[in-house]
Amino acid sequence: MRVSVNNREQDVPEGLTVRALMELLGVDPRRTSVALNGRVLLIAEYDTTRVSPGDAVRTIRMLAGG
Amino acid sequence: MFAEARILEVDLSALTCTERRLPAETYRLYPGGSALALYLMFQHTPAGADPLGPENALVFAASPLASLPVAGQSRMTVAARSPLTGAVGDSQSGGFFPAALRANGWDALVFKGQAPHPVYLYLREDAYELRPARHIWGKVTGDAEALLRQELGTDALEIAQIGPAGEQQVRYAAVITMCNRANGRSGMGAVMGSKLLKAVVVPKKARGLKPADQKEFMTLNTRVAEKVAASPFMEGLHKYGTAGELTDHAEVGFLPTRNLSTGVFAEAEAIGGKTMAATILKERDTCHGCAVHCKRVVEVAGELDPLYGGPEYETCATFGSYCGVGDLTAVSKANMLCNMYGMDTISCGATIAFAMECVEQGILSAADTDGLDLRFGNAEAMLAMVEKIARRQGLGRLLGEGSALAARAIGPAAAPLVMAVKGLEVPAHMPQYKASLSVIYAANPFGADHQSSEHDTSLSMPADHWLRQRLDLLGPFPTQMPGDLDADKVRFAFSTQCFYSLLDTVGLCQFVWGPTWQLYGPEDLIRLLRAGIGWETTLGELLKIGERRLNLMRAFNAREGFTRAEDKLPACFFQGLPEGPAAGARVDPDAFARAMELYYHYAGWDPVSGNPRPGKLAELNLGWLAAGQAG
Repeated sequence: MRVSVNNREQDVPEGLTVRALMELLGVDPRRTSVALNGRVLLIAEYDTTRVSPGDAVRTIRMLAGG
Repeated sequence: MFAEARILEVDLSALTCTERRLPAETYRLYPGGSALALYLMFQHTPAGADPLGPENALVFAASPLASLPVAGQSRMTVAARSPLTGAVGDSQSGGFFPAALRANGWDALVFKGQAPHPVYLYLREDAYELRPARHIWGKVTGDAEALLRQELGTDALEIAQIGPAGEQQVRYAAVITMCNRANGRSGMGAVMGSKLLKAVVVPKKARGLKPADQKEFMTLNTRVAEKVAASPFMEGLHKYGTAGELTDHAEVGFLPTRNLSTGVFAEAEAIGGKTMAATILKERDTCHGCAVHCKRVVEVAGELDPLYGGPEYETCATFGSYCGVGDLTAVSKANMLCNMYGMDTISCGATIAFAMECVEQGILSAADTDGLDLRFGNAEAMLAMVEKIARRQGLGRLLGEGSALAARAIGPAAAPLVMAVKGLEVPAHMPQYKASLSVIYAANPFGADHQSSEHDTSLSMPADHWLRQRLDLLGPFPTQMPGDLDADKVRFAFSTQCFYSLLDTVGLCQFVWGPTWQLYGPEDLIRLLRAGIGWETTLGELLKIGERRLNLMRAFNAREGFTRAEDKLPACFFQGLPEGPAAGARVDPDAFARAMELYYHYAGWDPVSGNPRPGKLAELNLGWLAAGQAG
């Protein structure tokens, strides 16, 4: 299925959980959040929320000062 | 129980030193670091003092925790009226000097007047003397340090010094320790140079402070290496240093590039922390008592001397992407030169990037640049200009004034190219992405600063993440996107600014201690203060101390005529970025205007002048400021 990841269209497997999507994208859930259709998800939702066709996914990496 | 502070007042004009004690009840209001330095500035610096004149007191103030065996405590503020901005000047550094200063029993040093000839202060636990420094005047930091060790007959010394740039009063000259740590921002090295004070030397001490409660202290300090390894943020700092995140900034299209005209830099990977670790990294260095080891030491035979450390993220950006230079060795050379000559890498790199854009736009010609082809991407010209600035030769004389003053001399066409707030060049975090920084950059009393508040992405982490639960101690705050700038975001900015202000006062590293992602959180800090120095305190008292310091700085500026009119951003931040994944991103001018009003409201400052009102000062035990008294 086709979803938008960080404003780029991308094909991902059907029925993917958010946690599986993060693994697929290679992002570290300890320091990166996921906004699904504009809402930042709780960590508690990563295993129970599935990505649907046409969803807009944004990953936000923790970037501090320094 | 809070102890009294031990302070050395040095009258350089008279070449005399006098030991003073600050009562414990006063010290508790201004407990070290920046707040103590500001309190002492109000005691010693009259209104209207020339920043480079004898009346401008220069203050060193250590963390009250410095030399305890725990990570992040060896910190020191150097403060004075800034010759770069005319506002309050304030800078912090780590390393080993602050721990040695405190282990020798000193909390603060106040330098007044101007010496009749170059001198250095040799300070021990029970003795102090001003010694001639003519033989090290003009020397780069590494040479001066070697000569001082030879003269004093021991290597067991910690040395804070200026290089030739400070002697030449480059307005962003730094105070350097270990030849590679800098109290960099706002030109404190130039103030030190104006006083003909070359160095402060203290002996190393085998033992530092003894924790007030050893048992509780050890609970904070057990298995730190495991904690560092378990934290993704500490792990990243250890492996790749602060420059590890450079490519992450680039990936989202917000790496400040070519004088901040874009957020896209094609050569970002070449100048980042991962490339550094894979190529020129020699060693991961540390500060006293710290297991994180975030400091870099780089080496290239014949080109890069490891004595001068390695570049931080800010340095990789200012001499890299700001200048369009994708050569990590060249960036590291610029870092080395700044540490040799004693200059702030942010202001130096950003001022050269400003000059490069002037050249690109035809505002400066080859005749103006001493024949150098000072265009974006020319690493050789960049490095040549660093040396010219340090020695104030040719165009370097003008660029040593900083970008804002240089633009005034160059002409009106150069003014829009100045990327500074209150004259302090902006660091490498774009407010077009991290929206709260638009407010902090504008409002911060000493100019645009990236280490004065928590950054927006903390609020974009999931609400059930451990770092958000820490942050809730200051809040709670709703989850926000980095670019949001509503009332909650401004409240987040001000609250975390107060916390960071506290950290710069009790003198703790903001990577190790902080309100969100750091190794230790706010509750750990309260335990540290109790177990470390026997200070029974609360988060409420600590945040009040942070707010007090902010008000001290703002009141200092008000005394010098500053108002909210100086709380303004470079115009380019309000224009959309031209390219890349963040094309079109900008600071919304209406949202920014509303946010500033909210900021003054949260700060309790006069919305017309932007300065503290008498009632706010009284609430913070600063009523003496409103009354025009000396504290």
